[in-house]
Amino acid sequence: MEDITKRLTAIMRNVFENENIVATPELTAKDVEKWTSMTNIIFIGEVEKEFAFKFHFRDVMNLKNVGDLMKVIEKKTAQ
Amino acid sequence: MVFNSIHYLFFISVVFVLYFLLPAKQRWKLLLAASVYFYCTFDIKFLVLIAFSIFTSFFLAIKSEETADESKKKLFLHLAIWSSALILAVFKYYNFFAESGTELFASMGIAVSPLLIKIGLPIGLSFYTFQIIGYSLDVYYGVSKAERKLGIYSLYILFFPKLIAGPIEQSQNLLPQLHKEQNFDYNRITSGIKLIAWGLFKKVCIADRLSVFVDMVFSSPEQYSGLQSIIACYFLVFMVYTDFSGYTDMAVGAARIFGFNLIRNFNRPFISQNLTEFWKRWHISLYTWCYEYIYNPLSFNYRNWKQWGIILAIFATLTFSGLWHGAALTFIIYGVLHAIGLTAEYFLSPFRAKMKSTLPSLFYKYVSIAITFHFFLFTLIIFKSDTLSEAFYIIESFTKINISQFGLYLFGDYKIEFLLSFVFVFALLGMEYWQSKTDNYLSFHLKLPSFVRWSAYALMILIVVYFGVIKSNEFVYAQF
Repeated sequence: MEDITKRLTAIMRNVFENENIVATPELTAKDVEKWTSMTNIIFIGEVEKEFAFKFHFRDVMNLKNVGDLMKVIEKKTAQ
Repeated sequence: MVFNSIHYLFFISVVFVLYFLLPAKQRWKLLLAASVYFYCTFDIKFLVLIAFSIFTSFFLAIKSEETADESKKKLFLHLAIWSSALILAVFKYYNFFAESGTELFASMGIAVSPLLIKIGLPIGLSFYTFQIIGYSLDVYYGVSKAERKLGIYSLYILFFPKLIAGPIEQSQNLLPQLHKEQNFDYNRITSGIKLIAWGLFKKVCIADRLSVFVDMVFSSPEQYSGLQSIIACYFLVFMVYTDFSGYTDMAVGAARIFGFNLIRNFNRPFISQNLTEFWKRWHISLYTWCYEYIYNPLSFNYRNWKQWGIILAIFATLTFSGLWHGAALTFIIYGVLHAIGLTAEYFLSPFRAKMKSTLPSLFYKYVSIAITFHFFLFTLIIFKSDTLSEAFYIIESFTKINISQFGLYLFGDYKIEFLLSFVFVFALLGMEYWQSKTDNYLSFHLKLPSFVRWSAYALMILIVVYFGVIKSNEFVYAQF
């Protein structure tokens, strides 16, 4: 999980253009200024590229926070 | 039976009394019967259509949930969506495309005469179809469980306060509430009644009054000067807002009386500093629907296209939302213009951020609000016009300002009406500002002493009775 956190933090800092972001499980889009419906989709694409898997739409539509995303990444990368 | 009629007042009073006389477990049945009756007062012949959509979507959602086979799930989903969407397409869009096709063929010298549908549009069709499609998708994606009680599901679609013009209720919000037993709650009931009264004030004192000026100019724009057209266009914004938000207040208030919370459809849209914010404050239930069921899946499917995938999703979503209002080129252009605006906002975000940090904050805020408001006003002129040339004629006339004709409004036959319109619009904005200062917009006034509150209620009734345009005028959005 530590590795996922580190890699997610790097992606988020790059996509949301904020060097202070840290990917914590409680973090939500509301907490990050540039995390909008538009940048979110770029973020999803970058996560897929970084972790080398494809999301199903059902995976992403029920995400409530970064913790949920971490669980999906963990599950997908373990397959 | 429109909300601003004596018939509706009598109807809701009878249903209210019977509702609380019945045992709590049986109350939903009364609401269902009342909703069916309410629907039939508009046009009984379309009952079979809505019943068909309810039955098919109800059974197909259960089938979709029960099967583990993904391809079968998809098949049931498509059947549920298309069985309702086709009815919408035929009744709302067929004539438009048939006539457009006829004109296209005629321009090529080919004469065709397609069969046109002339039996009118079933009331609330766009609203309940979207609700059915949303429900089917929610079950497919596992967001909601398929409803197992046909009566409850029928009530979810037919519930009379939101049947004709929304809000478009998501299954996660309304369905669980319909399963709960609702008790008599004095505070909730009185807050519902007050909301109905506030909605009625917006409709009969503001919207119907403003529509006198708006309709005069839009029905024969060549007869009015530039200044009159400008005033009519400003009035148009507040007319559409008070008409639709007034309707919504009456719908939310009626639902509260029976114990249900419908979603808030408007939240001070004219303080929005950009279009993205505007669409989170204006017709929220339609925006949420389009965002969740069109924008999200489309932008996800085209995520490899990066910015271009997002732009494609924005244009598809906003054009569709424009077309949702009706089959007309002006509605499509209304949607496309908002898509262009949102795309421009997306690309200009670094520039906007720079301006925000450079300019004095209050200046930036009010300039942003003014730009957003006037962009919406411009698109609403096209929305309201029957044809594009009519819209351009009105916009062009803005340049022909003749101050001497101002008297037609201030001192002509409509002098009092005109002044009252201003007074009521400012009263509305003041009230909304006051509402925004509290956490709960439904109970913002409860901190006042009871004497002041009751005087205000009495004054409100007097204003509605003396200054309301009591004609049972239809609500603008009921036609969609």
